[in-house]
Amino acid sequence: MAKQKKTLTTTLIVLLLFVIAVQFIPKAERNDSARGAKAITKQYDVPEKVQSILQKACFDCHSNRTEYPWYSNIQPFAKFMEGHILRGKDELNFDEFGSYAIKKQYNKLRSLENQLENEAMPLRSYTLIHHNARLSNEEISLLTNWSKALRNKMDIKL
Amino acid sequence: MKKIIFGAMVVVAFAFAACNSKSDRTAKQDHNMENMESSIPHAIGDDSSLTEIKASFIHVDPKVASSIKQIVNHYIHIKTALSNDDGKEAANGGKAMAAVIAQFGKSALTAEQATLYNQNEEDLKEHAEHIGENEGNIDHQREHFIMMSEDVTALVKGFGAGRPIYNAHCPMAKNNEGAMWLSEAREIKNPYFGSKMLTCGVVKEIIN
Repeated sequence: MAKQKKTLTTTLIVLLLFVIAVQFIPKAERNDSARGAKAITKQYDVPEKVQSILQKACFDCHSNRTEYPWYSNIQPFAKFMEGHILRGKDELNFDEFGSYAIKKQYNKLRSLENQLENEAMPLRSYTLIHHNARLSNEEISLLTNWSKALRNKMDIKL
Repeated sequence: MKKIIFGAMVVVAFAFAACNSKSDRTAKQDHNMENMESSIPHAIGDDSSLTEIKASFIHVDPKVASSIKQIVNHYIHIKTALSNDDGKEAANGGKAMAAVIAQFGKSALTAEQATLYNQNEEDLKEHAEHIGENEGNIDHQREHFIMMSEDVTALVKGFGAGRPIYNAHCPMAKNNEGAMWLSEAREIKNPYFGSKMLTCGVVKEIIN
């Protein structure tokens, strides 16, 4: 029993040291480029209602305005989240929307509609913690209707 | 006791896994491409008869022609895979196409050709990557294939493909909105439905 206790103590110490050690993993720069002239809100008409839904359900991973929760400062959660958020921004960044080629903008909106209609976005793992990011059917159709109307105004021939 | 030790090991393992999963993606994308006007006619005419279309660029650098040909070959690969309900093969085609786009020698393009290519490059690469990453999700691959088909059509109508390419349309795809695709053969093999509705579709154009 005493031996077992010793093993446990050693394990816990090793674990503790490890947890401390991983805190030294550098964290990526956050919200680096502020929202500038390329933001979708600067390029297109985004009604307030639409903006507030985007803000609460999308911007954490798809803008330069991520609201980081407290546990995002602790490794290894920081690293884990960083990967998710970078991926999200790479896929679609509403604050850099204007820098996409027009065809990509158009198709990003089509994908946005698909993802919302299929309820693939917002991610379930995200809405699990962020309850207010769960969208009602009305909110979903508000977004998709806005997106479709915006697309129709774009000067594009496919 | 054992449980605690095991639990600790799981936490450690998780931490390692999380640390190692470095993202190799670059956050910055291309710039300066907005507001370009397309001179490409709409892919699908209202006329249901077969119209013949000639590629618009007469002089294409051999290297460019070969890259476009490769893009079209990989596209056909994806199209055939999707009509066979084979997400894995479609993913292989997507990865191969993304690799060609990444190495495309743009210096040999004329100004007019560069405009057309740049309009489609960023978008097409993304669809290729998505199809490449989603071998387990054929619905998602097909969603991107709709948009990929439009991009490849624009390129083929400009640069040609070195062989006749057929432009087919399925009115039932995309929840009955309809969608087009390109094929190397006149025979209909629907990539949006696969075995569920393999022969749904009409050939609208031939691009030479």
